[in-house]
Amino acid sequence: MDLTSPDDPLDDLLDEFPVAVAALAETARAAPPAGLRARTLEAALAARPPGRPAAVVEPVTPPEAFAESVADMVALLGELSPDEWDVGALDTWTVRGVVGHLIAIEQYIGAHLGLWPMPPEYVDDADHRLMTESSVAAARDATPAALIRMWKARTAAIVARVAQMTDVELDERVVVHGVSYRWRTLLVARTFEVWTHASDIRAATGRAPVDPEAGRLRLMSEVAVAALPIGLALTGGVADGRSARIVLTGPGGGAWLQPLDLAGSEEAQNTDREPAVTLVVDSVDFCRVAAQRLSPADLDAVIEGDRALALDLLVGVSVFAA
Amino acid sequence: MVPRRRTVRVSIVLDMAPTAGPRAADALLGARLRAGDETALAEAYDQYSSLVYGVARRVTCDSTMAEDICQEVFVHLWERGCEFDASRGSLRSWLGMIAHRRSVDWVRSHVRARAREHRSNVELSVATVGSDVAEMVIESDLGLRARSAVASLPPPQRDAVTLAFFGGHSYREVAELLGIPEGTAKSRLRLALSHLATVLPEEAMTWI
Repeated sequence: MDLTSPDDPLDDLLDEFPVAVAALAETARAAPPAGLRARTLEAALAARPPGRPAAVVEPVTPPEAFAESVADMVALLGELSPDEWDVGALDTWTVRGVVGHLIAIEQYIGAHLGLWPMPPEYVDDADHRLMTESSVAAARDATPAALIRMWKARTAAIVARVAQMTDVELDERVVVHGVSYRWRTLLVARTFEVWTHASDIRAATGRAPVDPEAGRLRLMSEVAVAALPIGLALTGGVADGRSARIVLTGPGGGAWLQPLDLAGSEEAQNTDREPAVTLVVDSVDFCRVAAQRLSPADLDAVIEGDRALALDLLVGVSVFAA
Repeated sequence: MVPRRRTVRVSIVLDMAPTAGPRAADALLGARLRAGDETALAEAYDQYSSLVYGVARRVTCDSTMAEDICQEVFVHLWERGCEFDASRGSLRSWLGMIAHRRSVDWVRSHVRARAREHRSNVELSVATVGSDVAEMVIESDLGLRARSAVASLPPPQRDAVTLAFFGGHSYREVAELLGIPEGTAKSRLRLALSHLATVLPEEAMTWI
């Protein structure tokens, strides 16, 4: 054993190991018995099933997640100065306009819950943004206090109603903007939307972004991953019996082996379990892509396998944000 | 069962920094492990099992025990991967440290058990076996030879080696304890290792 060469790996090892281990580390390498790999992986996966994050995440329900996003937004709006309400926040909308948009959406969702009649101007609900333009315009002349009051009143009624929903009710479907959702999925989508607009306002007013708590983020991640097949289909991508491994890192992340054919289809049942692509990305960044607040081209992601498919998935996952 | 990767990893980076090095790779692997990506565990095993198993076998001189330790280390990595922090060191060193620590723990308990069993007819006794494994090792036949070899070193090297091997200190700690520059500590240790490698059989270096 020659330990005197200036290029000896020992030099590097001394930087990392206690000396006794350093002396062993490189010289002691020995191939373990062949069967040990399978036994080791089996023991590990028995201790923690695949896909489950190592960190314990306090689970939250979709109604709770929505309530958390609402509470964050209420707190944010309460700290805005009068000038900040007129700062440009999203395309042509100021902060005032964003809140006007949300007031209209809460009015629309509350009507679906039976809390109040559906306003006639929302009968044409195909375009999520266009249908709220009258409310956005009206917000220009309202005081911040009045806007906060209106939004709080509507969201408080919705939060109270959905908190009472049973599992059966949460699984019932509702058609919003022409798309059929289960209520539990719609509430997570609304959680997404309120968090996204809060992020818009934070960015516009020079505030640091605030990530959702791990439980809320986990729900958002799950819904975004589950939306990949339909997103891929809607954007013209081809699933072709393939699947994707999605690894979302950070709090609220997880790992999923997601079939890419539409749920319930014959192809989805026969999905090849070896994924065509593995996408590793931070969970918040993935949600920001889904919310169309981060372009796939600007995303720090590692992809193994079919890169073109990965890009199709990243484009498809944001289809609902439109 | 997690299959072996059939292809070499093709790292597609949309806009990842091109200078990302081993530390970034370790950070990514750690993040995947924490997220629950079982293929990351398989990758870690394929990459580091020979190191972990090798260290365990060298320290314990017991292949069966080395297998158990190797399995324990990777189960620990999977269950407690959040303890690994790539900003503080490489995954290689983290795994090597755990393998070494567990192996030393086994040697310690094994020697104690032997001491209890043969207290009357061997020199080892509860009284002579100290809390430091190095003391136990040095009391063994092989340890005696190693001690003799260490004793033959020039005093500066001997002091450094004694602290490093038998005290379990890093070279930086050795430098601090001896009040010498880190480079000097590293140099003395390298020279000492070189000398010991020539005068001791491979088996003895195993104990060290």
